[in-house]
Amino acid sequence: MTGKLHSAPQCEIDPLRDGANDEGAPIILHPLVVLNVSDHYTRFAAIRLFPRISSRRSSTDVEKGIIPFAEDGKETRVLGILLGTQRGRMVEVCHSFELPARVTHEGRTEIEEAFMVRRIEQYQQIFAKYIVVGWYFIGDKITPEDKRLHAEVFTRLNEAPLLLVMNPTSKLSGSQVKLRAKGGAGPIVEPMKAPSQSAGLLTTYQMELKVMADKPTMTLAPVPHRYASEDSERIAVDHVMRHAVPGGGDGASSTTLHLNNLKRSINMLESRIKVIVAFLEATARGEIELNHSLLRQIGGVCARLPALDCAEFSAAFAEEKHDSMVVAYLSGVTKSICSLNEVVDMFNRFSDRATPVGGSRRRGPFPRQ
Amino acid sequence: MNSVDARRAFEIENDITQTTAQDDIRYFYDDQEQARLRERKPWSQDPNWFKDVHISAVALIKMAMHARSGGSIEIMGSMQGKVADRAFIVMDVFPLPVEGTETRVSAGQAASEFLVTYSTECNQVARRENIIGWYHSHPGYGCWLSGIDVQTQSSHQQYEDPFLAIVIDPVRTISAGKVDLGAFRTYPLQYKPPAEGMNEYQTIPLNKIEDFGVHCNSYYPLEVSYFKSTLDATLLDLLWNKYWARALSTSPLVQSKDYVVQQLTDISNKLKETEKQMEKGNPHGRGGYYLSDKKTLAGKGGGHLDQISKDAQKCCSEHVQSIMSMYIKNAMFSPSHMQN
Ligand SMILES: [Zn+2]
Repeated sequence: MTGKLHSAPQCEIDPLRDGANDEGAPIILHPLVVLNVSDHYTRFAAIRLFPRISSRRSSTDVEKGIIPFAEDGKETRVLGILLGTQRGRMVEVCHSFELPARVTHEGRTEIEEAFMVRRIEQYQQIFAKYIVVGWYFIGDKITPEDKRLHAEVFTRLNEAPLLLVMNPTSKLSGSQVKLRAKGGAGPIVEPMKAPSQSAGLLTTYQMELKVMADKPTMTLAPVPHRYASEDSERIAVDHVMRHAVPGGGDGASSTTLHLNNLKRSINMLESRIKVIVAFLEATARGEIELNHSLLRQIGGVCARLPALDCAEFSAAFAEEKHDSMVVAYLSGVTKSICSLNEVVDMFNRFSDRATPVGGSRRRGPFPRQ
Repeated sequence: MNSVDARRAFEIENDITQTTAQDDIRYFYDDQEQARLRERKPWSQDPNWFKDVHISAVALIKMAMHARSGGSIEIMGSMQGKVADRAFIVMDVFPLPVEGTETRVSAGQAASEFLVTYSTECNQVARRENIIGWYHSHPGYGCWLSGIDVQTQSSHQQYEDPFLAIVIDPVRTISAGKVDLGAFRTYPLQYKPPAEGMNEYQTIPLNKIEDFGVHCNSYYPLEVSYFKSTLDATLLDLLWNKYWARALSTSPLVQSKDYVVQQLTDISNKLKETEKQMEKGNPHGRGGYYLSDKKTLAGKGGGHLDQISKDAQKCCSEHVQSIMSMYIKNAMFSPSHMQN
C-alpha cells in the first residue's frame, strides 16, 4: 500500500495535482483529440458491428466490398496523426485526423503517404500554428511493428514524435474511477491507485534511450499527460457531457444548470479534500510512512488559503458586485416599465371599446369622466 | 496490433456495444439507405420536411472551437453527415479557409477547391458521409440568418439538397457558459410560412434588427440535439475527473467584459429608439400612452418594449449567475471577506 504511494511521481494522473498549473506532465491533451480518436474508433467499430445486428444486410455484403476496408481482404488499422504545438519538452496536442492504413498478410502496416502529406498541408492551411506532434492508434499493446512505424514513418514528421494509444477494451472505465474517488473516506490508497490503472484506456509514449545489455536501445516509454482545454472547448465538452442523449433537450433554466455545474465541482473538490484529510490522518496515526514530497505539496496548497485577502481585492469584488446589482436593478426597472405599459395599453383598449360611436374619442389611460 | 489482435478487440467491443448498439448505430453509414432517400427526395414535397438535427460530440466541439478561434471575425466550414427520416445527422465538420470580414464570410475559389479535395479524400478513411451543410459564426449577435445567408442557403437547397445551415455565436457561448447554436432551413421563394413568429425569441443588436426583420420569415429553425458514442461517454467521464476545477476557476463575466458593455449599450439604444417612436406618436394620435403598434415593431423582432425587457432579463440572469459563483468561491477560498 505504501509502495503505491511512493511511486506517485510515476502515477500518470495524480489526482492531487489536478489543479496545479504548470508543473507536472509535459504532455497536454485537449479533449477534442480524445473524442476525435474515440469517434474514429466508433465509426470503425460500427462498420463491423452493423451488418451483424441488422437483418437487412448479410455478411456476404461485407465481402462484396460494401465495407471498403475489407475489399482486398486486408485488415485496416485505426490510426492517425496528432497535430499541435511544441515548446521545448512541452507538447500540446490540439487536433487529430485519421490515416488510411492497411495491414498486409505479412503483418506489415502500410500507410497511404500521399494522403498523409496532403492532409497535413490542408490542416496547416487552416491552423497555421499546428505542426505534427505525433500519432495515435487504437490497440491494447505496442507491437514491434508499431515501433517500426514510429521510428520509420513518424520520426520523419517530427524528430521526437509522441504516441497516443487508446485501448477501448480497458476494463476500468472512467465511471469506476469516479466511484472510487468518491469513497474518499475509505482506504486512501484506492483513489490514488485507480487513475494509474485507468491509464490503460489512454496512454502517451515517447522514445527513450535505454541501455539494455550494454547496448543503447530506443524504447517507447510511457510519459505522463494532463488535460487542458480552451474556454469554448470546455463549454462544448460540458454541453455534450450533460445534453448529449438522444432526445435530451435543455429543459432546465440556465441558472439551475449553472448552479448544478458548480455543485458538481464543489462535490468533486470535497471528495479530493477528504482524500487528503484521510491521508494526513493516516500519516499522523503512523499507519503509513511519511511521504515528504506529498506533505510539502499539501502544505503548499494549504498555505495559499485564503486565496486573496487584501483591500484591493475587497474593493474590486465590491465593485463587481455593485455593477451586477445595478444591472439587475436596470433589468427590474425595464421589466416594470414594460408591465406598466401593458396595463396602460389594456386600459386604453378598454376605453376605446367603451366609447360610443361618434362620441368624443378621447383616448387615454383612464375611462372618460 | 496485428490483425488477430484487431479482430479480438472488436469481438470484445461488440459485446459491450451490443447492449447500447442503438447509440452507436448512428456512426454507421448505410450507403444503400442514403441512396434510396436521395432518390425519393421526400423533402422536395414539403418545405417543412426536416424537423430535427442531431450533432455528434466531435462536430459540436470542432464548431465551437473553430468559431472561437475567429474572434470577432466570422468563420465558415462544412458539415459531413446524413439524413434520417425528418432529421439531419451531423457526424463531423471541417473548417474552410475563407476570408471573413466582420459582417460576412464568402467562400472563394480556394475554399471550394479545399472543400472538393478534402471531402473526396475522406472516402479513403471510410468517411463516406456526404456534405450536408455549412456552418458559420455570428460573433456576438445571435444565431439567425442574414439576407446574404438566406441567399446562400437557398441556392444550396436548390442545387444540393438536402442541405442545412448552422450558425454559432462564440461570444454568447462564452458569456452564457452554454453553446449558442442554431440550425436553419430556408423556405422556397414563393412559400408563405403557416404561422408567424416561428423563430424563437433572441436578443439581436439594434444595428442588425433591420436585416433580421426583413428575412426572418424566409427560413425556419430546426430542433437541435446532441449525441455521443458509448466510448465517448466513458472518456468524458474520465475527463470530467480531470477538469472539474475549471468551473471553479473561471468567471464568464470577467472573460467577456466587452460583450457585457456591448449588451448594455444595445439595450439602452433600443430603449432610446422606442422612446423616439413614442414621442412621434402614431397615426391614430395616441401620443404618449401607447408605444407604436405592436405589430410593426414586433414583426421586426426585438424593437418592442417587452422584448427589450427580455434582453435585459437575460443580461441580468447572466450577471446574477456569475456573481453567485463569485460569492460561493469567495466563501470557499477567502472566508474572511464574508465577515466584513
Ligand atoms: Zn451569417
